[in-house]
Amino acid sequence: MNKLLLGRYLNGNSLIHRMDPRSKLMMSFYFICIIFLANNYITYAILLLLALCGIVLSKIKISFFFKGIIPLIWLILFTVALQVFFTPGGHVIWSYGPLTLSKAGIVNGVYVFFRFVLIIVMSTLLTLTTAPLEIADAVEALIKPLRYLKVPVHEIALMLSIALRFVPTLMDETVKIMNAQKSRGVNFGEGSIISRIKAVIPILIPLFVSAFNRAEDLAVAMEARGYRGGDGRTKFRVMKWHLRDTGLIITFIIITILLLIFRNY
Amino acid sequence: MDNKIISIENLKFQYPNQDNVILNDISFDIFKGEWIALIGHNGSGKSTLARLIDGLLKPLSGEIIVDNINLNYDTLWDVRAKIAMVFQNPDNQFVGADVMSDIAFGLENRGIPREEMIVRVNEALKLVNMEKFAEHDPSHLSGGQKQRVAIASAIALEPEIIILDEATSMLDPEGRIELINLINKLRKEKNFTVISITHDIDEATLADRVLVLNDGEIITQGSPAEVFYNINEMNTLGLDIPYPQKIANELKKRGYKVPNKYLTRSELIDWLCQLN
Repeated sequence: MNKLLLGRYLNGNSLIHRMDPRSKLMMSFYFICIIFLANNYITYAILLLLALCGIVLSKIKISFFFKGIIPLIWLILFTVALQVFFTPGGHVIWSYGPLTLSKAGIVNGVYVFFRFVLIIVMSTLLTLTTAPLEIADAVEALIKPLRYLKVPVHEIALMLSIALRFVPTLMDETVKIMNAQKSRGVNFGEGSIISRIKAVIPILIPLFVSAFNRAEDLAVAMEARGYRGGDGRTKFRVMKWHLRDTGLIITFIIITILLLIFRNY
Repeated sequence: MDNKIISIENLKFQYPNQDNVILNDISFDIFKGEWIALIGHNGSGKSTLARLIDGLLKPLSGEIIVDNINLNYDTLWDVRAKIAMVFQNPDNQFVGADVMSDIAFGLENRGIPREEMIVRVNEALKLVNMEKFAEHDPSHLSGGQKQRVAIASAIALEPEIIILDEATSMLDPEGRIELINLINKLRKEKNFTVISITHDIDEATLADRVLVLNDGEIITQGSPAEVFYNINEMNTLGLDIPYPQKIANELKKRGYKVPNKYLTRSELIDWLCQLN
């Protein structure tokens, strides 16, 4: 379970690792936007090339990226199937009732497939090369302007980083509680779906109780260490914007221009 | 040793909507540089007392004076700036996502400039021998290491007083001794006062002065030698007796003429060697 949420970050010292989390986060979102500009094989090829460059520069084995795709493979295949069978027009190869298999449908299906893969690869690249804490810092920096709308930015950021910090602790706790239940004869892996769901309740209740106890302890410890809200606080961790981050943004601007040129080809 | 750092007068406390009085009319002084052990059974009010001193709870009546500041709502943060606390559960006081940011948390709260923060964090890391773990997250640390980080967080704040609220109770015996020795060493270097709330009698024997709390009252205080010699009382209070004292008692039962005073481990060994 741990692997799914946090273990995805791989420590490293590549160019991508060293980039500012803010630029990485922004560009990951931006990538998801510009992917919708792609509409033919040249534009998709440009984006694929970009993703490939990212993978190479991150010095991370490509198998880690496949691991990101596998959990979503059924969703991807389902969407691709919808595209393939329900896209009207073009040369119809085969049809049965409402289902039609056309050339346009197949092309569309392939595009949708690549769109999914690209989005997953890019977001995996972000989480593999950026520590959760860095992402939390980046989120704080990026939502900072919302302060003027009276959004409690500091509190949200602190909550995010504390939540991240407690994920492994609560995971350990869950395993402990499960072992305690197992030792008393509870079987989590067998039985109907309903009995399996029922078996989860005796895990959740102690977990909730202990989480609340922890929260109270933590609050006391924070107050004892002088925490009194975000005002007048200084920051220990700072993010530095480097030339490489500006470079990343310029790359994305160039890519956007290329996409706009080639999408009408 | 004669200047008071904490002075408590007629302190009373009870939780709202509860009948039982947790602390009943307590008065005592703590002097600069002292190591105080506060002992008592579960529910005797030890932790409550610690939280009152740090202003985490509000007393029903009575006065708490910390370093010449009378603790009240307006001076709360001035008092807290002088006190650092280390709690029992190593996991539940680790705020930062890694060792360095945890140590920095208290400094950030005080608005200390970043350059100074870096210096202080590194210094604190070095003092507790955790430099190698600077960027580790808490899930990769042992309980003892986490408590060392908690101590580093306390030291970084340069407090006058460090309160250990059963800080060693979740550690194995080895980790306990290590932690206590570490704090003792740091106390000598930095010259702060330690209030150690503990269950561990052997830890209490290392203190300069022991306060015994029972049902909200201080029933006895004095040097470990004075306090622990009074054996019968300790048992009725639900507290253990230090190990050398246990042996001395058993020897006394068997008719040996054990000296009529508290013996530390080495004193007992010396005496045993001279026997016969």
